[in-house]
Amino acid sequence: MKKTKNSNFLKILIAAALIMIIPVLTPNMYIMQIVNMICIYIILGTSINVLTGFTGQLSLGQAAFFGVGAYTTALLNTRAGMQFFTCMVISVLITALFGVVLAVPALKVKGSYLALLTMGFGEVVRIVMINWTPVTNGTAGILGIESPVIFGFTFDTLKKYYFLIMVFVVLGLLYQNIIIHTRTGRAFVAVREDNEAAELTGINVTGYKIRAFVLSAIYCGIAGCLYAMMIKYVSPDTFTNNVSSVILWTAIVGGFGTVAGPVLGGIIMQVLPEALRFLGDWRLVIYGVVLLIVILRFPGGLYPYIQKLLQSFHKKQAAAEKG
Amino acid sequence: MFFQQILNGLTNGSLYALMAVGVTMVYKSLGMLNFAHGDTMMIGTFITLTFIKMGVPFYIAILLGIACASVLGFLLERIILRKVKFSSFVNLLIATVGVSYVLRNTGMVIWGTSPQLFPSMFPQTLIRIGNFTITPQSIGIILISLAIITGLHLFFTRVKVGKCMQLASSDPEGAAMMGINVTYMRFLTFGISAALAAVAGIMIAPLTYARIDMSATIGMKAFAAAILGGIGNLWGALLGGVILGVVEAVGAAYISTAYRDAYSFLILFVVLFLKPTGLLNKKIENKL
Repeated sequence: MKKTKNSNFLKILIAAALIMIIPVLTPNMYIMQIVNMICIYIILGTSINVLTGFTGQLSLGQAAFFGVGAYTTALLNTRAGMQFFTCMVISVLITALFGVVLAVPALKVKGSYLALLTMGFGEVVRIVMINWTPVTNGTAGILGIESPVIFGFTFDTLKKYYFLIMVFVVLGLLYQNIIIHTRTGRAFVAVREDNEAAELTGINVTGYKIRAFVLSAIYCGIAGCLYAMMIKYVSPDTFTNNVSSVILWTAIVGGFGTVAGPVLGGIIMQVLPEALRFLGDWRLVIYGVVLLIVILRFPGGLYPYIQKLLQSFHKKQAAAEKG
Repeated sequence: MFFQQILNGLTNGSLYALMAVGVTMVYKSLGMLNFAHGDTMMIGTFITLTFIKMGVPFYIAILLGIACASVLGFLLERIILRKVKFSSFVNLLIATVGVSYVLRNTGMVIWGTSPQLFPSMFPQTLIRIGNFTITPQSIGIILISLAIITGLHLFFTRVKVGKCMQLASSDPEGAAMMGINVTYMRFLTFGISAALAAVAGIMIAPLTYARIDMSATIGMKAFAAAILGGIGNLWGALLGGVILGVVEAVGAAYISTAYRDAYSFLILFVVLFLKPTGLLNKKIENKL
């Protein structure tokens, strides 16, 4: 017992050391930007992991929540001059509200219908972003968002900002890890596995579905707020259906229903297009093909597969030590 | 003015219906929406345009374009969807989303993002009755779409292959026991669905220009139309398409053109909330 505790402690220590050392190792701002985007996509991947991976509610409209969070922050910061924490709290509240709005029609449908419903929701939100010019400034987007200042400390460079994002990534992952081991998490999985059976055992399916939508929206709201404050510019082009697909892939490629899945997915999904830059125009095509192959070849995602590989490796090692 | 908008709505609506029929056919055999349907349409349209630009006679180019689209449909079924058949529903759906992503980006690389003129197969003269204008184009589009959907209905109810396809998609085990080659039938379903998409694309392109992003907007309206009318139902697809087209045209004329693309989804939300099975279906087909 003590040994596992020690090894867990060691793992956390290694993870913390890695987190601290990344900004020191990155040679330039370009790579730092990618690292920060990976972190934001880890939060987004976690959001869909809660909704689709654990609760089984497919969503192709996550970009809408992401966008609502980003726009709320952008507007509050540029028009009302609000600071980071106020922006984040209000963003989270508003995206949570949107989560409820989407959850109500989504309760009645599932499968393809739900996928289309969420996709349509994303599209409607984007159309509103483009056309509600007095508020959202149309296709031009909103410029001039300020860097967050917390207790007099300004997060003005990407490296400083990295630590701010990392706080939310770690908190988000921890919260996800905690919630799946609680009553709520077990209820989510029960709803995913069998709606009727869950209902029969006394689980309030409607309530838990709404909770999953809201929780997912909140994660997206946080990611949106962080994104807006990092890039300092929001426009409707950033929150298209393609982004929703990428968010879904982030969780799928890593492994749905696993805590570490979105982390792995976030890294792969952000690094791959940059690594494929040498292909020029064709890089997004190849990116799509690679993802398709991953989905076809590893239906459960890469993380469970890697875990299995590691396990068999450990077994072999143990056997070798014995023999 | 009002009737003018209704006519415009019917024109667009019959095109959405044509797309929705393809969506519905695939839904019946696979149990899910094919999110690459709109992209099949876009690719078919652009291949036709390429043939026209190469100097191939107009109607032969159209036939070649439709043939290429159905080959694409066959490939989609054979290479991708058959592989994920036995894994989870989510993966199947994501696979079609992935195919859509690949096709759209391929289109962008090959044909660029700027809209391109597409020649119409109908004469451009206007017929005026009072202050009411009819274009031969809209009449032609409505008639062709109606003819194709009626033809498909006859094909599915009268012709042996069509009946086999119906049975193979509604009851695969039963069909297999009757000696029907279910795999082949599904293959055929995908081919016909893709060909319909290409026909719709070739008729839409003269109205809106041939553009890469038409796959997203029109594809999503096709799904909305199919679900609105009641999925798996040919006449439902027609009804759904027409309703969407008319609502869009009237909404654009009397409320605001900017939100044109949003009306169809708002209607879809309302219908899914009030009657999730769609307008013409009695009970939801649960194939999940």
